[in-house]
Amino acid sequence: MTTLSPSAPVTVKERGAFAKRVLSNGALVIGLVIIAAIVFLAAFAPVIAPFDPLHVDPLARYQPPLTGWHLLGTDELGRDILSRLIYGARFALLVAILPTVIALVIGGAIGLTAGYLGGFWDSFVMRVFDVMFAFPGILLALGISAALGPGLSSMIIAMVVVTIPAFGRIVRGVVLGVKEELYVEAARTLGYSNTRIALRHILPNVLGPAVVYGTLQTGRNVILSASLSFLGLGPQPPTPEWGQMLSSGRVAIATAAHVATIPGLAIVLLAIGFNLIGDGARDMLDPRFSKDRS
Amino acid sequence: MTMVEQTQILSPTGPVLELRGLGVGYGRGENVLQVVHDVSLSVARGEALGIVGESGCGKSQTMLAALRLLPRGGRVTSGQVFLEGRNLLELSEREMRKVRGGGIALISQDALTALNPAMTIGAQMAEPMVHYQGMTRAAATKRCTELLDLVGIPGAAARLRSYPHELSGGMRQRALIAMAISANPKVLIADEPTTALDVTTQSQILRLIDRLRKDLGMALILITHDLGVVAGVTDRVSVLYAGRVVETAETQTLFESPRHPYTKALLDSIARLGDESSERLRPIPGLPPDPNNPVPGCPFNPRCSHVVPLCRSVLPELEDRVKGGSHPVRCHVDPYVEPARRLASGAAR
Amino acid sequence: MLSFIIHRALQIIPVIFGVTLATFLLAQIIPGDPADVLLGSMATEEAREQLRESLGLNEPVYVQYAIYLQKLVQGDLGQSFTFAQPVSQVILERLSNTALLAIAAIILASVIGVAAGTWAALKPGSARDQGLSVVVLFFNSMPSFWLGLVLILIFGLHLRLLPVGGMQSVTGGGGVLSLMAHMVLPTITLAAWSLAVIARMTRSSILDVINSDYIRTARSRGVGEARIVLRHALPNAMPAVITVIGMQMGFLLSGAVLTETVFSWPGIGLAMYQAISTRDIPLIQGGILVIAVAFVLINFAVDVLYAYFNPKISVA
Repeated sequence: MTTLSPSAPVTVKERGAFAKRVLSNGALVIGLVIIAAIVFLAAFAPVIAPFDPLHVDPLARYQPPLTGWHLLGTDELGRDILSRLIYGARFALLVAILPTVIALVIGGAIGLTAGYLGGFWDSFVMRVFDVMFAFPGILLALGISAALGPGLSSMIIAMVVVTIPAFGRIVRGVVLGVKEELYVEAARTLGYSNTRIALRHILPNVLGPAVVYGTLQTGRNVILSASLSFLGLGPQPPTPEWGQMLSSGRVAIATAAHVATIPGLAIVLLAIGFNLIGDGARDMLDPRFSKDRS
Repeated sequence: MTMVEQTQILSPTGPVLELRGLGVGYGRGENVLQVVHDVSLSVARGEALGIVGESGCGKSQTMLAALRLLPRGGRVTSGQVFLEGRNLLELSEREMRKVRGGGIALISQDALTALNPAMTIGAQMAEPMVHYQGMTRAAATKRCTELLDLVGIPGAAARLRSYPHELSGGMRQRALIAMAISANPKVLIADEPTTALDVTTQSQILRLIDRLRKDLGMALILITHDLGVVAGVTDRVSVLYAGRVVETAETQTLFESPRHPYTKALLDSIARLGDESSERLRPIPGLPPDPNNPVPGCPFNPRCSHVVPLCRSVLPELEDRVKGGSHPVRCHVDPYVEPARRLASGAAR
Repeated sequence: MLSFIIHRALQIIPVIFGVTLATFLLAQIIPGDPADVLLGSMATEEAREQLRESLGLNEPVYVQYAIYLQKLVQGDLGQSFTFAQPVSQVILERLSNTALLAIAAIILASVIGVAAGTWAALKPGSARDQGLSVVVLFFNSMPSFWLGLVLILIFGLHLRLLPVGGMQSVTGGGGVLSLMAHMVLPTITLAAWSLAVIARMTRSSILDVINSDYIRTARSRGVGEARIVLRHALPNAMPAVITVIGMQMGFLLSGAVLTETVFSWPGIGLAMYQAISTRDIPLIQGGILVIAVAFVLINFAVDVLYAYFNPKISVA
């Protein structure tokens, strides 16, 4: 006996009520504001950033914040930290969101086939996922990244690979839940394409858990990508990537702490933003999905 | 006739537990969900009172309120609860803790969930004895063994070391009963004690409860949705609907001459044994009342076959216009009593 | 109970094999010619071919995997060229240091996490509960290496209360007190994330449990609130929390890479960081393998403990 959840709001009235619920969740709103602000900064970086993030000034190394026009000071090569921060927002958002989206698509496809086809493929996929889950924390991403060599693309590949199993399981779970209905309807309406039937039954049920997990995973990606960069596995200097900036600034922690700590604050802020959205999404969607209505 | 006078006539020896105008609600301010509106009942020393109603009518909530054990968000919104004359709602939490167990004891519905799965039966049973009544472990164990014998659980010593999931449903219920009576309460509240059990065990448990309360001189409040359960056990019955008492009478009288249409409908829905030719089970038409959307007037009016326009606008009072007060009913129409026998009252009909 | 242990043990064996396979495959996805990596691009073709032969790189993949497994069983994890030692030796020498930090961190995270989560759960929605939510949010949003740097900044450099790195004092006689002083900041750094996860899990677990019927039964018999929490609620809330603690152990072991780097703590994590800089693939592989297998075994132990304390599970 399956419990189908309500699908995404469709009518104007439903959308209005939905918007109201979103706005009433304070944490969710704060998260959205934070992310929106950072997106804005990233999008308009060339206009907003006071300096060229790659411009090296050997005479102005390690300037503390509020020196001249350098609102946040300069780093070990005299580059303006604020500008690097703003441009770095582009990478930060990219490496947080893109792996989630790609993993959702690939993992979802795998989970879909596993759930639908069952049998050997399903067992095989689940075994593989089990093995992947046996690698805790950043371990597997670290390994893949290190093997592929440092750089943005290998970091993203690594992050995608480690995120696929979770999405795979979620989608597979949904498919298993609605399997009966899929078969019934496939048998009944031989004219319709199976994809259409599958989408109609699976999509509404997958939306909630995928959104909740996706947003929380995006928050985790912020930390994961920063960690990989800190270890030297991400985009290499002079790319203004926040984790990388933190790593380079570490040597000067005693004399010019701002070089390392300020990018860290940016990472924390971005992570808070996504975490708040994720928590908010969970508050809104979870009660409807985890509690049995009967 | 006032409510106070009514209850005094019903329980001439002075009630051991008395609820007056009790109201229970959830939430605060504008959004209070009222689940119990205005319940008055009493039970005398050694007497057995049945509280009958559909699920959601507020019968369990009433009793939890009396024990001040309402779940999160629940509050007593009106009324008083008197145990031997003391208003329990005015006590401090500390004083109330002493009342629980020793003054009033509760037997919950589902013995499996009502027992701590991570503690042995003995440990749970002995807990108040050792930690709050100052007994030694040895004395507590002895007492627990006695109690298990009293409720008819064989092999008490081994049972004390068992976990709840290792016992059968019937034994769990007996263990729960043993725990309830362990502090010699004055009032025993049994909330649907037989619902989770099979038919044979049901009657065993009922007989056990009945026997115990007579032997130990406790008052008994038996809460159930099944009228069949109260027959033969209780002295009086109160019928609850939508958080209000709609009829109270001696058990025999209620079965023979029910007055509220809801009570009559409940009786009609019980299968009568050995009576195949009689009417099939007749469920009560319509839906149970929704506390979120209370109807104006009498709460039963949407489902009542004797409804008149007055029922839809004015809430009837709980009163007895016939027998001198021993059978109060909350109904404008009072359809099963011959009009001639009704006392004249000012209300136009 | 025994059959349960055997049953679970049989389940983890394929996983451990899978882990070795995955670790083996890591080396396979390295772009370029391994001989180049190891010998540098200046080497002659002859030397490269020789190296390939000796490493078995010309064999088909499954043969290489078999060789890999064979070596594993013998304890041979390859040679680390960063340390000029066998990988197994590098790891063994540093294992206890990492374990020390990880154990201290899990104790800290568990004790404070459970206490804080319980404390907040007793008054849901109250100021203390919301306060906990804020703290949890922050701890879940902070990269551990940043937290470590900030702690070093405040306690090591400005307040000069605690040492900024290493495991023992460079000067002075060392000893337990010195060790403990050096452990404080890294332990806190490592524990922070897990503390938040454990606190949140405890809170929700207690909330699930506190409305149970058996809690009401105990209350209805006059049992006081303190006993209700400690003796009735907590024991029933713990199973879920223990599972989470087991998961966090793994997270701590992998997080050690970051923390040990920041604090120059001589454990496996620091060695792996160094291995990353020098692209010392065997050491990276070895470290990942050891930590992953340790994680699987830890979870196995947690499952057994769980079943031991929860009579219902071991019977089922």
